[in-house]
Amino acid sequence: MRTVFIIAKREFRLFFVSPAAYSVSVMIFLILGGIFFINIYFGLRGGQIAPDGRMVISPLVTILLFATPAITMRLLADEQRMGTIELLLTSPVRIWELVVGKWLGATGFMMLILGVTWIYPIIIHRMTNPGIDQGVLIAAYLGLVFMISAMLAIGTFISSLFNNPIPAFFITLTLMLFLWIIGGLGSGSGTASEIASNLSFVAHYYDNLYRGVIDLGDLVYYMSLTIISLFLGTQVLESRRWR
Amino acid sequence: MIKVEGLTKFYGDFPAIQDLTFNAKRGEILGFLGPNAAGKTTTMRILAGYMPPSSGSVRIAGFDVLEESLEVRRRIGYLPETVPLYPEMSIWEYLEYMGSLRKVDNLDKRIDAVIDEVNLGDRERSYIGNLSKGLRQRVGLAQALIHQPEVLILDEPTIGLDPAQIIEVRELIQGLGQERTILLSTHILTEAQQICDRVIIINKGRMVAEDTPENLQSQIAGATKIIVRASSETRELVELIETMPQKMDVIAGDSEGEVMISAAPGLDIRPLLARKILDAGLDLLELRTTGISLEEIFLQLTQSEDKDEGEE
Amino acid sequence: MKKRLLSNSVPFYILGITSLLVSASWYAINQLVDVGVTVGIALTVILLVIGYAIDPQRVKGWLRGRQAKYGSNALVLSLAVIGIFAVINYIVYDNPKQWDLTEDQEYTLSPETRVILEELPEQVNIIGFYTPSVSAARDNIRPLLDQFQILGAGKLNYNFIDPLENPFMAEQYGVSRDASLVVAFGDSSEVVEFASEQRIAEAMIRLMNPGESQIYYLAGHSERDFESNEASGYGRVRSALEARNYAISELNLIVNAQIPADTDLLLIAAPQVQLTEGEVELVKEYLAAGGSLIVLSEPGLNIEGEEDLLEDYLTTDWGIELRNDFVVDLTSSLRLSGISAQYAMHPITEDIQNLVTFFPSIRSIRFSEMGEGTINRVELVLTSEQSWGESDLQSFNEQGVLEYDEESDALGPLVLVATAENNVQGSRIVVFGDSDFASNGFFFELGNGDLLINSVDWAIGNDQLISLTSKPSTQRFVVPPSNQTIWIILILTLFVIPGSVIFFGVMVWWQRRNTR
Repeated sequence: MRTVFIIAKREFRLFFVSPAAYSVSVMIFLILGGIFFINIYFGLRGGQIAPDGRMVISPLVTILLFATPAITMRLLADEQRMGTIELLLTSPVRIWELVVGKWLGATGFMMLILGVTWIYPIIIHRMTNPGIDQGVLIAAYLGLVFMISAMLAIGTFISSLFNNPIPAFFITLTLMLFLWIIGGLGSGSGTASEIASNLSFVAHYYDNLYRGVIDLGDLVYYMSLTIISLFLGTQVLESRRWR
Repeated sequence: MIKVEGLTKFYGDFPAIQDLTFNAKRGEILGFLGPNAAGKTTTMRILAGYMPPSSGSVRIAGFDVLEESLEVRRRIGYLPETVPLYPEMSIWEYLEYMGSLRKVDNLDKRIDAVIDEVNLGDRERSYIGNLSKGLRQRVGLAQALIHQPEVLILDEPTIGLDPAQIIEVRELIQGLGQERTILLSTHILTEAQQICDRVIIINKGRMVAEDTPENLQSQIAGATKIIVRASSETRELVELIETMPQKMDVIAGDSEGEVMISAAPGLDIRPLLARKILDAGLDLLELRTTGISLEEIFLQLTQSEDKDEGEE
Repeated sequence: MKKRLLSNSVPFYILGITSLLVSASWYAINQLVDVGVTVGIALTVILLVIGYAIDPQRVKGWLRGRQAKYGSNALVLSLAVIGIFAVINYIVYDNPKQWDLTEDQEYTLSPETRVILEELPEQVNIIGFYTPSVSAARDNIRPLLDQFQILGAGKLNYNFIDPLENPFMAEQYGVSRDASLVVAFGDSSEVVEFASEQRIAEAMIRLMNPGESQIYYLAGHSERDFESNEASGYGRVRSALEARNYAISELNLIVNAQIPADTDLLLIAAPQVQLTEGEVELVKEYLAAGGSLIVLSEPGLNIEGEEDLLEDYLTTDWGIELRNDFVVDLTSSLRLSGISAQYAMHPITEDIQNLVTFFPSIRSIRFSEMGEGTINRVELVLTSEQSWGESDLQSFNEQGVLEYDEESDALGPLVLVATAENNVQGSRIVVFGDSDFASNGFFFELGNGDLLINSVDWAIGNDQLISLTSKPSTQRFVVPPSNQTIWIILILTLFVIPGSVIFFGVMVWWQRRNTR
C-alpha cells in the first residue's frame, strides 16, 4: 500500500508542472465561471435566480467527459513511450500498485479541482434565504466523486493499452461517449434495454444522486466500473511479463 | 549469482537469442560483447525481469526470474540502454522516488552517498530535462545503485558519452565491481577488455565465445607476434634468431634489419631474444610485441557467421 | 519458410471476434435471432476457420506455449472479476437501498403510504407502460417507484414495458394512455394515470379492499351505447372504467322500476327521449339516499317549451340549469366546440390542469340562485371570455348565422361542467353539457377521457381515499444581490479563480526555467 501512495504522490505533484493539467483546469474554471456568472447576471435581470447550488454541476459533468481523458491519457501511455515503464517493471513494484497509484494521483488532482468548484454553491448559498438545500448538494458532490473516480479509472485502463497519449485520449473519449449515450438504447423495454439503461454513465448520476438521493446501486455501479477498469489495466501491463 | 540456462527468445518467428548458457560469480564483472542487434539488450531485459524468455531459465541470487520475479527485482539494479528518466523531476526528486519505490532505508543519506558516487554533487537540484547526455547516464547509474543491489545489469553504460566521461564511468564500474556482480553489455571491445573479468561474445543471438579477455586473445591468436629491429641485415638477423632452441617462425619484416617472430603461446621469449642479439654484438634498435587485439578476435569469430543481421 | 499468399492470420481472428461481439450485442438488443445474427455467427466461424487454415502453426504454438497459460489465466480472471461485479450490481439493483438527503425529504414516502406498504398482504407488481418518447416521464417516476419497492420489503416490484412492443399486455391490463402505471395485485389490477404517490397508494387501497363499485348506466331512451365501438359509442368509457375495477351494467328503469341497492353511481348519457316522471322520481329518491349521479346532456335535445323533468329536477334541487344554447368561440380553431380555458381547483381536475378538454357542441350551465344551504356547487370547467352561448339554434340551423346577441345569449366565461355535493345526504352529482367529448371518437383526445373518469371517481367517492401527510416545503429565494456584489462575483469567478491557476502555472514554469 505504501508503494501506491508513493506513486500517487508523484503523479499528483506532476500535475502541478504539467501544462496539460493547467490548461484543463483553467478551461474548467473559465467555462464554469462564465456559466455561473451568466446565470446570476441574466437571472437577476429576469428577476429570478434559482436557489439551487447545482447550477454548475450539469455543465461540469459535460466538461468532465472531455477533461478526464485529457488528464488520464498520459498516465501509463507516457511511461511506455518514454521507456520508464521498463524501470518500474524491473523495480519491486507490483503492477496493481502502479496502476492504482497512477489512478489515485489523478483522482487526487481532480478532487482538488472539484473542491474549488464548491465556491459556486457557496456564493449561491450566501445569497439565498434561508440557504440552499445542503443535502442535495452533498449527494450531488458525492455522486461526482464516485463518477470521476470511475471515469479516471477507465482512462487509466485505456492509457495502459497505448504507447502514445493521443490515441489513449480519443479511445477514452469514445468509450465514455458510448457509456454516455448507451442509456438512450434503454428507452425501450425488455431485459437488454434494461441492462443498457443500467450501464448508462449519466443515468446513474442524474436519476438519484443529482436529486439528492443516495442510491446504493449507483455507488456500487461506479465502484464496480472503477475496480474493473483498474483490474483490466493491471492485466494489460501484467501481460507484458508473459507476452 | 547469475545462472542462465538455455535462454531463447523469439520475436514472432525471429530468434533474438538462442540457447544462451552462462554463469556469473559474486564480485565478477561479466562483459556482454557483440555487434548491434546481436541480442544483448534482449538478454539484459530478460535478466532484469522486464520480458519473459521463450524458453530457458534465469536464476539470479537463487531466485527464478519468472516465478519469483519480485525477489529478483529487489536484488538487481538495472540501467536500460535508453536511460528512462522523468524529465520534469529534479535529480534529487527522481532518486528519492526510485529509492522510496525500492524501500531504501535512510533514503536521504543514501541519495547523498549515491550522488557523490556518480559525481553529481553540484547538480542535485537540476531538472533532468536540462541535463546533458553524460549527466543523464550518471543519473541512470545512480538510480541503479540507490538500493545497493547485489547484481547490477548495465546495458551499454557508456554509449553516447564523450571520451572523458567514458573513462570516468568505466572507472566507476570497476570500483563497483569489487563488491557486486556486474553484467554489462557493450559493443566496444576495448571497454570489455579494460573492465571485465570475463567476456561473452554473442552474435546473431548465439554465444560465440566465453573467457577472460586475456585468454580470448591468446586462444584465438594462437601466438604472439614480436617485431625485432637490429643494426644488421635482415637475412643475418633471421639466421641468428633461428639458431635459438625455442620453436618459432621467423620471417623478414618490412624494412631492412626487421623481422617478425611468431612464438608458441605461453612463453615470453623477448628477454632471450634481446640477450641473443646483444651477445651477437648487434645493436638492438626495437623489440615489441603486437598483441592481437580483441577487434581481430571478434572479427575472426563473427566473420565465420552469416553476414545478415537481424533486428534486435 | 513456405511462401503464403496471406501470411498473417491475426486480422482474421480480430475480425472474427469483432463480428461475434457485434452479433451478440445485436441479439441482446433485439432479443431475437434474425438474419443479422445468423450472418454474424456464420461470418465468425468462417473467419476463424480461415485464420486457422492460413497459419495452423500459430494456433498450435500458441496453445502449447506459456502465452496460452498466462493468457487464458488472465482472460478467465478478468471475466470472473467482471462477472462478480455484475452479480453484485444485480443483487444491489434487486435490493435497492436509498438515503434521502434532501432537506424536505422530497423523495421519502409519507407515513400513510408506509403503513400501506408494511401491510401488503401479497405480492404487488407495478408495471409502467411507457413508450420511448416519454422516457423522461419514466425516469421521473423511477425514484418514487424505487421508494415503493424499498419499503415494500420484497413484496412490491416494478418494471417498465413499452406498450408499442407489447400491445397485448397493455390491452390485457386495459391501458389506454401512454405513461400509465398498472398496479397488479393477485388477479386484479388497476390502471393509474398521472402517477403520484397519492394515486398509487389509493389504487393499492382499492385493490386491498375489493368489493367492486357498481355503476349503472341508464338505458331505454336511446342513450349512448356502452357496448358500441363506433365513433359515437361509449365502449371506451366502459373499458376505461372496467380497467379501474368498476363493474358496469345496464339499467332500464322502464322494465324494472327500481334502482338496485348496490348502485354506487348512475350514469345518464344523453337520453334522446325524455325520462318519465316515474323514472325521475326514482333518481330523486336514489340521490336523496346519498347516491351519485353523472348526467351528460347534449344541445338541441330539449325541444322549445317542452318540460324536461330531469333538467327541472337538476335546476330546482341542485341549482344547476342547463341552458338551451350551444357554446361558440369564434377565436378558437374549433369554433363550435366548448374549450376548457380554466379549471376549478377540484379533485377531478387536479391531474389535468395542464391538459385541455374540448366538447364538440355543448350546452352551457347556469347556477341558479339558491339560498344558503347544504349544497356545495363548483363551476368545474369554464370557457374563455371570447365565447358565448348561442341560443338562436334555429337561425343557425337555417342560415348558418353566428352572432352574439346581447339580449338572449350568455357571454363567456361559461360553465361547461358543474359538480354539486349535498353535504347532508352525501350525494354527489356531475353535470356535463355535452356527451360527445367522451364518445369513442373523442375519448382519447387531450384530457377528455380523464375528465369523465375522474368525475366517476369523485362522484363515487373513490378519490382521496387517504390524505397523505403533507411534507414541509422550505421556501427558498435568492435575495437579489447588489451591483457591487455582482461585480465581486464577476471578478471572483471569471478572473480570480482561473487567473490564480494561470499565475501559479507561470510561476512554476518560470522557476523551472531558471533552474540549471
